Amino acid sequence: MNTLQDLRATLDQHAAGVSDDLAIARVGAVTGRARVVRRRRAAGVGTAAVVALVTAAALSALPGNRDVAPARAPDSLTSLGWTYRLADTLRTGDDRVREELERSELPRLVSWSTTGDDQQVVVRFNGETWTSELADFGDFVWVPPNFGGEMTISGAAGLTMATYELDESVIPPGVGSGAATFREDVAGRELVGAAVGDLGQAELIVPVDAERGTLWLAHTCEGMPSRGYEVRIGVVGESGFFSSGDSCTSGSGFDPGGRPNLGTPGPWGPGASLRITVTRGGQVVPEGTLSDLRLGLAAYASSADLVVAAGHDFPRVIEHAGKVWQLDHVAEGAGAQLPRVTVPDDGQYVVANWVVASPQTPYVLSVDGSTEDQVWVSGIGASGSGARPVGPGQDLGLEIRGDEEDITQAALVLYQRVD
Amino acid sequence: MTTMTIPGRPVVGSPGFEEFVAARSARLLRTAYLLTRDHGLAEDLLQTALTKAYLVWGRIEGDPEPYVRRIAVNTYASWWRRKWNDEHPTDRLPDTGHHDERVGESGDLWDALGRLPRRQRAVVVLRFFEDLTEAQTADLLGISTGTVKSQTSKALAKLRIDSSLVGEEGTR
Repeated sequence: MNTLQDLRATLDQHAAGVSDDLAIARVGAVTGRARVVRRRRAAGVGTAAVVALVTAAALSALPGNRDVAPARAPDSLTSLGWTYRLADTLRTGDDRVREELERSELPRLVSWSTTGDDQQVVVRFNGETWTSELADFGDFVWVPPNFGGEMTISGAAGLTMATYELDESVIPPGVGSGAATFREDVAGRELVGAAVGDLGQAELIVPVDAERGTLWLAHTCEGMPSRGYEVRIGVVGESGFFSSGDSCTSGSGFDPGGRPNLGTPGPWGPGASLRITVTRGGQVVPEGTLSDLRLGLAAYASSADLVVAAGHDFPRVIEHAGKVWQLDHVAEGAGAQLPRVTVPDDGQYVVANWVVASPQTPYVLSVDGSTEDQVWVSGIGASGSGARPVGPGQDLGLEIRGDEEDITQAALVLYQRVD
Repeated sequence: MTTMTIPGRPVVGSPGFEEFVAARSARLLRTAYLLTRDHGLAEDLLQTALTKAYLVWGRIEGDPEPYVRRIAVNTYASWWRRKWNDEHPTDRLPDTGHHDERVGESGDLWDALGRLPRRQRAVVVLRFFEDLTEAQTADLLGISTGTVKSQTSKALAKLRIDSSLVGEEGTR
């Protein structure tokens, strides 16, 4: 038989475990919801009056005169299986809106609608420029965790901006917990093994179905101190390890499977397991030493999903900026014949590149004749830049700032958005 | 956190609302968590209640906290489950009725609380976490004190708590 004391203690204990992490953001979220409610109410109140005006409005609403009320922001948007809830809306009626996004530990989406004929908008954020013709909340810009800064949307008339925040209660299928879930599917790659450890656990063994060749690995080591410790990943039963590092770049721990970046040599046959450890001075840290540490490791199978260009493996499908992109065009060149490509007029595209050259050779990506920041080829004689957005009709090219003979191979690869 | 800093944007905050949220919502969030047993749903429930309160903020007389708590509890007890039951994924199998409704001698009270019907769980949270009297609980839930007593008695029986003890400290 329990007592009332037991009951009170149980309630107090579980209530005490609730951390109010969203307190600061709550007012903004609530006022955003209130605006939505008020807009709905206003729409309801206005219905009768609108009926009387329908005939006159129909006469004036000729094709090409898209002077209508802004679309209602949907309550939620999805990105790569994650759900984001509407947190705030801002209707300006102008052709330009600017918002200062404060840094947030969780990712956000910013979407928009327009009321004019021209639905093309340009969004600038975090040094990138996105062009979109998918108005009325059909497109978004993904704001990564721990990012903030100024975002501007410009172009079309009657802009309304809506901000969405990650809903951590709706988790895509996968392995893990909450936002730190390894998704089952990442850019078409299938999850073939994953585990997330308990707090303080410094070693994890992860059985994998490793008979299908190269695996792509993703890991999280949230809570590992930034100095003096190292994460090592290897195959159980084999000496050595094929990955080590002294930093955890997963930030908030959100979507750890979204960054699989290590291709392993496999296959290793049935019964293979991977091992991830946190070490200090070459020795595995005793369990519980790092009380805030949360280790996780996942392996994704790739099935001939790579295209080789300039000696580099480019995946046919990638995830970038909260969206899925499919390889659309490859341009290769060498020496004086460096690759050039024109971005198609339809759809959204990002471009990636790879250059094989003498170490320290400088080169730049040019966009419509303007050059981006100069890059130097690394000491191993090859370098590349990941996906970056490009606009419709833009002419892209690689330009070398050294001797042409230094370049042995180069590639520009266009990806088109497909989700 | 998202903040807007566009010059000329209309000020939408009501006097005192932000201060109230900053000062009081942590406690309300805990109550919401004890009701929903899910951090995300608790936050959503609290924001739902705060939104309703915000829309009438200027007309709330006295301390707004009981008002917000009333909205939260009644929202949870009425349409909350209907709204979310089919939408919220879970890694736990839903309760299917095969549990022994009475917690065992060594049973976990938290699990047992989770198996209580919504109204009974609300009564338990208000009476034994919020320390509301039967009359206050009845007023908040919009039911009679007799119903509060009977719901409390049924809930405690399922939790294997000696209801005779309630009379000693619980009839305030």
